[in-house]
Amino acid sequence: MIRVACRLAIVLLAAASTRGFSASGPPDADAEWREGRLPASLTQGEPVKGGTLVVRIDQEPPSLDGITDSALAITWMLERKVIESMAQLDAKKHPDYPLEPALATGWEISPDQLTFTFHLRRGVVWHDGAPFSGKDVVATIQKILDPGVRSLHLRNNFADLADISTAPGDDFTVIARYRKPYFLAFRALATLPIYPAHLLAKAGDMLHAPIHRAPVGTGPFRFEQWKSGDRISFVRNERYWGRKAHVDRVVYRVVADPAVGFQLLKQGEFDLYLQLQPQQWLRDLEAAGLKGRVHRIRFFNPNYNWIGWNEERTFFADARVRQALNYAIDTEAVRKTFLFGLDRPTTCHFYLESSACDPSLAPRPYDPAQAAKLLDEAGWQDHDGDGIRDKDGVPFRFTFLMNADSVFLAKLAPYLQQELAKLGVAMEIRKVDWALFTQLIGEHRFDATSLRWGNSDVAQDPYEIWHSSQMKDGSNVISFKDPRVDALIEQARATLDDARRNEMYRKMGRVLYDEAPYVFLYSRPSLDAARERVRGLRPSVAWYDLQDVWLSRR
Amino acid sequence: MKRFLARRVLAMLATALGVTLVAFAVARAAPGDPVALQGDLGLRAGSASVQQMREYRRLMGLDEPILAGYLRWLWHLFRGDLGTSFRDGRPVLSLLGEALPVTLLLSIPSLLVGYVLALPVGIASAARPGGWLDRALSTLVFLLHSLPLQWVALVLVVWPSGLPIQGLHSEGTSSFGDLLAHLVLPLACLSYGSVAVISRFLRSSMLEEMRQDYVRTARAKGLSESAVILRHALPNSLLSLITLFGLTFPALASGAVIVERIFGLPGMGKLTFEAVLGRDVPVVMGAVALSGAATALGTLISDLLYAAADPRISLEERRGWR
Repeated sequence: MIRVACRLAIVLLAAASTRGFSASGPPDADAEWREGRLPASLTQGEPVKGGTLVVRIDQEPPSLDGITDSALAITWMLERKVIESMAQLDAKKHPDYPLEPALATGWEISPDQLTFTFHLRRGVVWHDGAPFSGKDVVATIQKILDPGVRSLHLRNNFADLADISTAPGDDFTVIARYRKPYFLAFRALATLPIYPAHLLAKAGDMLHAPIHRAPVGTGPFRFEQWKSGDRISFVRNERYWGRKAHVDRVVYRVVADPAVGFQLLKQGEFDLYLQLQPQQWLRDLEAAGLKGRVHRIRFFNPNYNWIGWNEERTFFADARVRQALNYAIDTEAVRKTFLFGLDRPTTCHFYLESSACDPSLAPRPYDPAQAAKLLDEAGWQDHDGDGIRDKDGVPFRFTFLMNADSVFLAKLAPYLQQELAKLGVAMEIRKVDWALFTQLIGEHRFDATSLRWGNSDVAQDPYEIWHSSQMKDGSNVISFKDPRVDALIEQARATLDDARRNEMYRKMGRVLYDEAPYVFLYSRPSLDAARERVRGLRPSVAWYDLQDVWLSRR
Repeated sequence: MKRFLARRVLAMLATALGVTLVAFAVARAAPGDPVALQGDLGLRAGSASVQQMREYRRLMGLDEPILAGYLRWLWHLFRGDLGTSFRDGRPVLSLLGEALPVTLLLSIPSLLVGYVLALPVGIASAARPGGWLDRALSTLVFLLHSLPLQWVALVLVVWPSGLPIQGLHSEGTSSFGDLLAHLVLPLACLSYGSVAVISRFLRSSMLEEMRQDYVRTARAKGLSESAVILRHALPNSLLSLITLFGLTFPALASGAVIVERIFGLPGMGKLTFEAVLGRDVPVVMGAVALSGAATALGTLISDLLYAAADPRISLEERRGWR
């Protein structure tokens, strides 16, 4: 019941933020503050040109090169703003985000779904003045496919690309042919950030080229300067083909320490503050008297965290055991106590507002009696009376592997340990640093762990994480294997109709719910704050579109 | 003197070889995989296959045996090339070139401030051991010494001092005054602890000297107490500070992780810390080489200072070389 109400509120939130004022009367300023929703009035009024937008980031990206690095900060700073793609997610159409034209004015998909033809915009120039054409698209793909370039995170998207070229005698038509139909192939190609061919030709492996740190694109902002460890700045592109930006400059200031960042926010140093800590967002902003001077923003990107049981271990091979462990955790209490209630519960692999999710699958309630019953049924009973359940002489004793940096897991793990001890299951905790953690997880050298999956697009393929073929080299680190799920994933890959594919994903979700390979936990919001003078800001899964932002002078 | 120098330099080189070999072996053999860290490979949709991971390792030089890797690193070092960072592909030399000046800008003034403040404190404490001034100063100094750095730094940040709390320059200015203002709080953090250490060190070595016969003689011949302390005991006890200087010299180049992080100063501490977490072997090795060189140089300088300061020590005689 609570869940339904919650869902409804979110739908309303989306409606209000996309269509301006709702008809339901005057906006409730306090509700907006409470829920972290930007007042609709901020998107109204006549934009003013000029000013510098200062954005706080907590960590510098390794480079400004999306071809060799997949850091989220690069995506945020560059895509749509500096480097553009042929098509882009329509940020106004939450939560489905269909594509809208960008560097391409239109496209055709052949009936067999294997050939894509893009018609490119004419008269577009790169930031260095060179003209844009289809040759740039082809060169970008070639650079990604070059085995000497560190571009694996992109290369896999084009595994089934047969060839790509410009049409004979027409540099403004790009034709791509694929070997087999795949629902993400078109989206991956259409939203690929395009780099300038004349600079790629000189860039070698990219790592030592100027464009590795000083990108050249076609977008509304052009790279200005990067002072290492301090700030990265962009200025308005006066020759932009589309809607020109309102602000003169965007400066990203690197402030690693959250307490220092908050102090600077109080001093009015930032227009947009990214990633407040939950208690800062929830309490400190108001306590510091910033209510009215800043707006709180709470937005959910596609992500969820989970607790996973390695099914190669005998303890976790039986679905009843996994269900029992799920019943043993009071996920709602954990959410409220450890996460300030800001995260949203989910039981779904996909974006929680997507129609690939089945809203009828509610999180399992906290039910220790049910957990004990299921463990008994599965044969895990305390035969030798030592307080720990056992089966065939093996005691139920396992290790929970966690990343030592995680604040959340530092609280969750001891709680888990305590709850499981009550059930007669012994859990030890092993904390390791991130570098070692990724290695151990990749090699399946763990009993149980917890991690978060995230994605920058709402459209995604669960193949990598849930298909049994991905146990060895992919991200199916818990070795989940179910022929029903395999078949649904394979069918969905070749299904280009969204509704039919989402139907398959809901079926898959039902199987995952019953098999309980993960304890699905929560989707984490991004908790940001914008200064009062910032107008035209709109959070979306594509982050913020800064060319629409302007600074009020009032 | 020349022979001494030559011997010391040779010993330094041997030490440096040992230090870098151990560091290289540890950095390469440490658990955790720089390839898996690269853009979260293997942990998200669209991840790498084993074969592609192998290809990355080859690109990074992680597939060769440790000793071969070390020799290659040494050969490149010999030619003045420290390699490129795994993380961002930039030359290690230019990363060090950016970080070292920031660190020196902090460490040299903080060392000076530390000595300048510690000298009067140490002398005053030693002049009347057990007196009210000594006890008051000792209490103060121990109090300072026991304050955790992280806490002090955060208090200074939150304190409405009006001083800048982030970076080295305000947006759009590069004046010397602006730079100084930015340095005040980090320097305060870096200095208060060393005042405590240096002043206690000086106090105890002064007390040692005060018990010596020559001090009694000086007193007996009727010199004023201040003359006894400043002209006789102090110069001799300063010798121990030379040792301390030799020991603290390498820290000048190694940076301060906590202070750099809080005040947003991209120095050696931040560079090294992030390189270790990211298993960025070339950068770790660059930092090790630099601090190894600083350690060796510090020892050499303090040896030479000893010879200059203490007429009893002759570098030739001490080792029986005539």
